[in-house]
Amino acid sequence: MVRRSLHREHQWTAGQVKPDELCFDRARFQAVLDLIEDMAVGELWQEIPLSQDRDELDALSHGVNVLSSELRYRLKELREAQASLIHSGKLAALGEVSSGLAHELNNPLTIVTGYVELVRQRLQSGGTSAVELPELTTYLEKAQRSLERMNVIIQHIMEFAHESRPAKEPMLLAEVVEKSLILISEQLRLKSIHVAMDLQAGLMAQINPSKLEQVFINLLTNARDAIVEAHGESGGQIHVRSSAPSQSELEIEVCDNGIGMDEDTRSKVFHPFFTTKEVGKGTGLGLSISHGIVQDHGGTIGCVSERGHGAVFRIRLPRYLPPETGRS
Amino acid sequence: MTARPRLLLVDDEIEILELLTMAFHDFEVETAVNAESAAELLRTKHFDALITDIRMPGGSGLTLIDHAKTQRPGMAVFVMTGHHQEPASDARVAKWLLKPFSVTALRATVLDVLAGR
Repeated sequence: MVRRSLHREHQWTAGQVKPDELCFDRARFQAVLDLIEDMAVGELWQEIPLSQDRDELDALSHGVNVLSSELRYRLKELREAQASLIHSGKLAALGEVSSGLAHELNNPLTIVTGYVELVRQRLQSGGTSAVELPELTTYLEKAQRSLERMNVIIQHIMEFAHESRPAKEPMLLAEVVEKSLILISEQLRLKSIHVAMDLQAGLMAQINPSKLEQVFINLLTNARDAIVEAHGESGGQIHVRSSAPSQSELEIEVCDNGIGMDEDTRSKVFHPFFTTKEVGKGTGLGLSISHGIVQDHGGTIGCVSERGHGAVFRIRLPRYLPPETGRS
Repeated sequence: MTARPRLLLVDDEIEILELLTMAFHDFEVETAVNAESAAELLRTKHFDALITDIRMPGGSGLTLIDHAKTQRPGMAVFVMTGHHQEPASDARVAKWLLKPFSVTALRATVLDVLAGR
């Protein structure tokens, strides 16, 4: 049990305290000890009841209760700060991709505006004759397709920017990867970066989609910058692949043929505020937040790289196996 | 002008090219989806006007404008861009248009500039 390991660490157990060495009620003393040990492993919700005597043990118990309640409060503060940091990181990621998104929206908006103008002109010049109706219909259909495209993008920005529910649910990994590409594909396309996907079908995990998507956007943004640093505007390759190394685990890799990292940079890449980018270009938080998110999913994230030879970021997550159906 | 004006449209979005082809249905229109194939068309053919996007995979519209102005100094150049951070003024360019723009206004501008030559 947890308690036993704690005792071992300190080379001391409550059982070694002899009752005759105590001037207090043995049971009450044990309750204080137990609570302190529970606190040490993060169980902070209990309180020691005080006796009527208001003796030294009560004073100690009261001190422990205060400490426990302070710790609860600080823990709550820490969790809130962490959530807010993750949310800021998400908005920063969104900021990173926003110029691409504006471009992505401006094109269909130009198309919608344009076809609406063309339809109006045709109608004004007497285009309601049967001959021109198919042409007008085509224009309106094209406008509608662009509106649908804008709708997908806008819906997705809203989903992503929204402070997510803490809940995880069983989801297809491929779906999360593909959604993160909605936000960043335009950026990659404009930099002539080709993304090859090699995703094993049906792989599932317990996922908080908006947070894991944030991880992929961070990795893809990072890969984009590494490629631009190595090849400028002439483009590069990102390869995203997923597999299941075992029944209980799944793996996803984001590989790029960018500038890569030396060992010193690689070893610090998940440290908060570590960045090799110019001041104002990167917060140094993307990968450290990603690390936190992956850990929160019960997984691990690592990086293999060599300066001049690209980088591979590898995430491992506990695999979710859907309960088998159709069998009795 | 007696013959129909010749127009080169360059954008990596095929749908934008389709739209502008419709809007300039009374012009002789050719299209290119990247700066490289546009440069190739400019080498071999004459155009009265060039309408180009700036940010495209595989090469910037700005390089294409340099190339166009060297090859065909008299050609009118129009830029359409979705990015606000572009310079928006350039002596080589007759008009910068920010997406989303009005095709009616673009058409009027192109006709105006061509009429003034």
